[in-house]
This record gives sequence, structure tokens and C-alpha cells, in this order.
Amino acid sequence: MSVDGMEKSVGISEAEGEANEEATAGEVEYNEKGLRELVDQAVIGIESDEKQIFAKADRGVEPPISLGLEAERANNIFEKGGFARQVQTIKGKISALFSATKGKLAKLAGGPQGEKQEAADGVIVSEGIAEESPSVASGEEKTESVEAEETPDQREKRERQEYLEKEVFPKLGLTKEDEERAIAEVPADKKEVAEHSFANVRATVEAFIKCYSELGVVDGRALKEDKVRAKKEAFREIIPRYRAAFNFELSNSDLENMYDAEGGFDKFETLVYEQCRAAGTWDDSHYNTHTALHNEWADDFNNRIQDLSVFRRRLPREELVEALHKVFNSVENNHAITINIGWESLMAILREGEFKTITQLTPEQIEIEKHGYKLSENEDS
Amino acid sequence: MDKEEIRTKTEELRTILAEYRSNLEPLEKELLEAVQRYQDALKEEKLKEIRKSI
Repeated sequence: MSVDGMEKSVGISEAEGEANEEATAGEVEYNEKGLRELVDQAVIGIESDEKQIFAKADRGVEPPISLGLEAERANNIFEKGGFARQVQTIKGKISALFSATKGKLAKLAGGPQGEKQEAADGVIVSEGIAEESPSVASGEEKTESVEAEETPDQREKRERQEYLEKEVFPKLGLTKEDEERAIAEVPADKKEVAEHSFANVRATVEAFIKCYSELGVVDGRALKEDKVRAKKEAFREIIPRYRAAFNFELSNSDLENMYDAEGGFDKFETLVYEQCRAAGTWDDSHYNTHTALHNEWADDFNNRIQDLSVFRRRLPREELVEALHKVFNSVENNHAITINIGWESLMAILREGEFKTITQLTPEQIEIEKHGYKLSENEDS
Repeated sequence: MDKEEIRTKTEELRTILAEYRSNLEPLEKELLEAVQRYQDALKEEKLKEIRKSI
């Protein structure tokens, strides 16, 4: 459906007519249901545009059979000639426009009363973002406004994708051309597996790079050390209250030493209990005091632990790619690397600097590969 | 929603769609032109092949 057609189909001409009529005669009845229907139809129209425009472009990039060019050669021209990138970029802009418009329509259908159009100066104010009205924007500015509609997530994803296609996949032998070459070499019954394998490895490499360079991974050792510190600090705070409640003759530093020697609070508590019992002073009130102090200590140390984000470590993506590149290249017939490789195999490359297929991983690593990481059930020591 | 609000929202809908249309048209054109350039490149390649074979 053309845009004009959509505008007609959503009854916008009628709506305009109504608006104009209202302006002049003030007789037109507006109702909520009618507005919702208009919005629904507009969304359907946009979705229809989306399908048609992309289908038309997709048909256009299929090599015409009548030309008699080999598909591989046509694909090569598409990729190497920069057409793939151009088409992808424009499609991205169009997708962003579709999403942004659908978002605006969704907000219009259910948005709060406060989000109204500011008629003055041709400026629409929505969520605090001022957008220039198309009626006053030049063609170039219009394109910029579409780019501005791209959400940070979409931009990140697009940039990552571009980086992967330009810098990473060619380096690691994971491009479409590498895939086609590899598939041509494997026996017919393995071709499907090889196709899936390349797609899987590309997706895993993308997730891997995103995880290590953008999201960051938690430095478990630093986190554990911080917990130890927080527990000890909280213990120092609570010692005087323990001494007062249980009439300990031991000094604060004696108790601290005991805490260190016994390896933590749990053991210290056992010691408190045993000492009281030996002195014949353990009763319900001691039990209640002890429980209350324990809870205070636990709350205190939890508050002292730094935010998890402090322990996130990010690696430069160039460094990650270089590490993968080095190992991928060292494997003879390197497309074979796509078989039996997964997340844990990539981690092994980072950790150990060598490639391991799933079958070469340790039993623990295989468990992680199959089931993911499990959080420690008892980490308080 | 009262009538005034519905009237405003209808007007807003019109503006959104007009903006959408004015942004989509040049992008659609740009996309189809890129596709056309690719098809021209394929034809050029085929011509080269024919010239070579003569």
C-alpha cells in the first residue's frame, strides 16, 4: 500500500475534513472509539508499508535469472560493491521510522492527557523532546530526524553489527564467503549442519563480544574480597555489643583474632554459643539477643558491599577480537572451528589462549556449556 | 477523553502521519535507487562477461 493509500485508508482525509469542518462550523462529533479506530488503521497501514517496501527491495537484490550470472558472483558484487551495506543502512533508517511512528501512535491511543501538540512555531512537544515539524523541515533535516528516532539500543546493535561484519567476521573466517567455501568442501549430508554451525558461531561471537566489551563480566575474585572486607568491618562494629550482651572478658582485638582464626562469623557464633554453654549462661534471652545481633550484622555487611557494577570489568573489543583471531588462525582448515564451538570454548580461548572444542573441555566446562553458570549455594565462608 | 482532547489527538494523528509520509518517501526512494544501482552493476558485469567471450 502506498503512503497516500494508507492515509486514505486510515480515514485521515475524512479526519482532516472533520477537523476543518469543526474549525469552521463547530458541528462535527468526535468520539474516542473513532479515534482508536483511526489509530489502529494507521498502524495496519504502516505495517503494510513495511512489508511491501522491504519485499520490493528484497526482490530487487535477488540476481535476475535472465542475466545468467552465477549467484555466488552476484552475491560477491552485492557484498563487495558496498550494496549490501547501503541497503542495510537504509533499511535500518526505515525500520527506525516505522518503530518511531508506531510508538507515537501507541502513545496517542493510550497516552496521558498532558502530551498534547504544541501548535505554536510548528513544534511538537512529546516526552520533553522537541521535534521540528515536517512542514518546516528541509529534506536533509528530515533524514536527520529519522536518524534521531533510533533508540540507543538500536544504534548500539547497528554499530556492533557493522563492526562485526567489517572487522571481526572477515578476520575470523566467518563471512558468508567463508561459509560458502566451507560448505562446498563438506560432504552433502553435512552441509546443513555446516550452515547452522556458521550461523551459531557468528551469533556466539557477537554475544561474546557484547558481553565482554559492553556489558562487562563480574570480577568474582574482587567481589568475594569485597564481601570479606564488608563482613569484617560489620563484625568490628558489632563486637562491643556482643561483649556487653555475653559478658565476654576477651578484648575486642582478641575477638577479632578469633574471628580471623576461625575463618568468619559462622564459626565465631558457634564459639560464642559453646562458651556460654560452658559457663552455664545460655538461655532463651541469650538466644534472642544472639539472633538479633546476627541479623544486624548481616544487614550491616550487606549495606557495606559495594554495588555490583563496581566489579564489572570490560575488555577492549579489539583485544578480544585479536585473542580470537590468533587462535582461530592457528587451527588448520580454520572453518572446522565452527564445528563444536560454543561460549565456553570462546572463554577457554580468553583464559588459556587455545581452542578447545566441546569434547575437549573439562567436565565442569561441559556442564557450564550445557546448563550455564550456577550461583554458589553456600558462599558464606 | 473529552471532545477537545479527541479533536487535538485527531489533529496530532494527522501530523504524525504527515511527518511519517514525508520521511518515508525519500527513504523509500533512496532504497530503491540503491537496489537499482546494484542491478545496474550486475548488468555491467554480465556485459563484461559477454565482451570477454567475443
